[in-house]
Amino acid sequence: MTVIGQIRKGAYFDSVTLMRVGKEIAGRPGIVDAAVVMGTRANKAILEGSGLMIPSFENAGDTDLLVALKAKDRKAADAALAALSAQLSKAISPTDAAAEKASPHSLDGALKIMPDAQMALISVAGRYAGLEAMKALNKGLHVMLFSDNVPLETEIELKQLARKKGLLVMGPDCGTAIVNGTPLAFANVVRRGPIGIVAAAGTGLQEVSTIISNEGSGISQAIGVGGRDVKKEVGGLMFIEGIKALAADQDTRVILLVSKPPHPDVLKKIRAAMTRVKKPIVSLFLGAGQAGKDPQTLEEAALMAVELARGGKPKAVTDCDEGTAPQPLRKGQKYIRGLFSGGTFCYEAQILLGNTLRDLYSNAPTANARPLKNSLKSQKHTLIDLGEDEFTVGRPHPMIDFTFRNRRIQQEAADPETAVILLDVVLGYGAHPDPAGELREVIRKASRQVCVICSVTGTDADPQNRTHVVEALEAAGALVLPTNAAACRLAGQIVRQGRK
Amino acid sequence: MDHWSHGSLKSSTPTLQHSSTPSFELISIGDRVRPGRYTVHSRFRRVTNFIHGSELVFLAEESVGGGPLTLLARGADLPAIDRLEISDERLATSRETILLNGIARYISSVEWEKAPAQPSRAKIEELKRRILLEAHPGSMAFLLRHGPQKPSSSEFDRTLAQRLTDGARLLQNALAYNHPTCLARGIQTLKGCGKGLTPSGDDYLAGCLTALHSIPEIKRRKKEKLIRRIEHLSEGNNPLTNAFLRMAGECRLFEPMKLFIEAFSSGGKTELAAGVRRILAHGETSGADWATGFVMTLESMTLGRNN
Repeated sequence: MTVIGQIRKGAYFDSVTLMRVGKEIAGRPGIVDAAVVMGTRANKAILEGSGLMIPSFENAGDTDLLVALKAKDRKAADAALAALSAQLSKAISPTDAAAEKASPHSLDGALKIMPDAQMALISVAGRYAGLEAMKALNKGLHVMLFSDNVPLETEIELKQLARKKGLLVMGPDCGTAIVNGTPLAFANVVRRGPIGIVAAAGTGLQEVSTIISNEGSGISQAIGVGGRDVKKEVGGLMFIEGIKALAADQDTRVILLVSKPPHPDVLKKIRAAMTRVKKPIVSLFLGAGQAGKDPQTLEEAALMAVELARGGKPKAVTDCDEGTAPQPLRKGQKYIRGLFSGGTFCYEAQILLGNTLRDLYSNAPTANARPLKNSLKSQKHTLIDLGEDEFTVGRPHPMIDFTFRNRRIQQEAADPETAVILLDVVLGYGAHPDPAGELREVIRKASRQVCVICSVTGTDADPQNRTHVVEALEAAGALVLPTNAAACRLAGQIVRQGRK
Repeated sequence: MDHWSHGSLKSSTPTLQHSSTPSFELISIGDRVRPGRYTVHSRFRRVTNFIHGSELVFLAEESVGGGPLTLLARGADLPAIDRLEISDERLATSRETILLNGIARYISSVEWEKAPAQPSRAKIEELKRRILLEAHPGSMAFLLRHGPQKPSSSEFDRTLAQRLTDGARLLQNALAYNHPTCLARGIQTLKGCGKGLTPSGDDYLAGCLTALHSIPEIKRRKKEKLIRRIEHLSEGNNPLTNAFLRMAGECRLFEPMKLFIEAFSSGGKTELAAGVRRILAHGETSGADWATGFVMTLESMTLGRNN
């Protein structure tokens, strides 16, 4: 066994960066243990206690960074130390400020670097975001407002000004968009093509755009407007402007609209705007469409748009048989536990399952579900939106950090009443670089007790590669369905079959 | 809550006066910022720490929030600023000078006498539950969990967790049962313990100091003596944590802590949840470590025998 170490002076990192780097290095082949800590007396005592102390550390001070590695042999230790040095250099080491210097610190600074910019992506604290967005609009720029917690009156003011100037304000709380082929924020690498999307549902936009791309068609523009746009107060200002923009866009031949149900007054305005457009439009207002006439799921809406773009007639996708459980349910196993990272998926699942299952509960309930008393404890059929504020403030979004969801999967799998665990896995920019790696072990264990069903939102061109992720999840024991709707249908079928 | 309102920034958008057009806007200046010629101590993504002797100031982006030693800036090119010259009238960097007349002053003190009396057990339990629910898994919040902890595969992490557990237990026993030897041992065990430039143990001690200020039942002289002793025993060779502990000892709070205290005092579950989220978003694990120290001390002092 070899223990080697290094003292780095003047290198300051936050604790989470050091934890992450330490964990990554400890997972390398031949490495038994690793620690990256400040050289305080207490930390030296811990290094001593865990067999990671080397004599030179005695001279280190409280503000020196100590790197310690225990390895099976010297070769593995040296390789890990080199990798660790590279990791620390890559981590945001503010003493190496070159990268930050390249980044402008104001809108004016950004415009100096790119004077012909047409759009500003704003992601600052919500209370200041409105001011920055206003500056951008006054400079003639479209705005994508990633920030949330922007006051409603500010949103209205911004959108009214934008409409007056013929500009778009996408957001606030707009997590995804694709503009001229460029994915922005949480978005996927999709084919370019004839279908333009306006969406007031972030993961809904990701789901339809990837289904379209995987079906061989493509996206001209995808405009997210933020979920609040279709509320009564905002009046669908940007949703309607988005429709107009796509109507005028030469590359767009079919328009696809996706939203949770707008306020009835807003829906009237949107429908009026739709009648003024000559291009074919597919509209999905989740839970508000007419069965048999309008699409009922994201999957159905996306496939209808693809058919229209190909010059065909849209087909219904409902009532198809998705398969059966890999093993019979055990006695007492009767409930679905859905753990979603995408809010739209949780919403869609409630609509699909609420039509056929009683006793459906959620922390973000629709008309089809009842409110969950305690979001940490499931009741009967439970669908949880893990992207809700109660789970995300103070910790990364569940699409990035799987810690909390993995813990909950274990909890649900241990419940003798759980029959199916339903999961969404969202790929693309911004999402976790290796979701299958994060889920593999927990699915492997859970699938011994219950049926684990996943849908994977993404494409093979995404950084994570959809096919690789699907294969890894299947190898771990999950049933992987192509869409959230299909996954929900299968989950419903399994518990209904189990009841018989 | 109006009884805390004096602690907020006096005005949200002060008029900026400057000798020439400055490249950034100074939003507020902390009430414990001392004049001096400061040089860079350390840099993080949103904050640059400057030092002058034993004095520190933090030049921070607006999203960080105000603080007793914080110069809160909007649009500052932090990596490009490597010195600060602060006088009563002006702030100078190597590039520009900003006049401080008209800049909001962040008031970091808290009117504890307006805080409600001893919190109920139910409220403390709710606070613990909230912290546990939302804290970073690498923080000290694991100390609030009942039952056995999930063992880490790393010997170092297991030893670190054990040391933090031992230190916290010693300190809390000392506070609950007025045991001076345990107090010193607990602090020595926690001090400097943890990863990052501000180790978890030091943030925990700062939370402990703030909680002691908040308990009206402890007699003033006894409280002051206890706080001074903890502060003295906690002092180490890291100027950054020394500054944080000194501020906590004087009960000078950073904005996330003040918002948390307001929320905890206000009574409602919704406000408490919001306050916990705000404190947990402070630093990477610092807010969670601080909140763990705060709630454990509150529990020991109010439910123990030492009041």
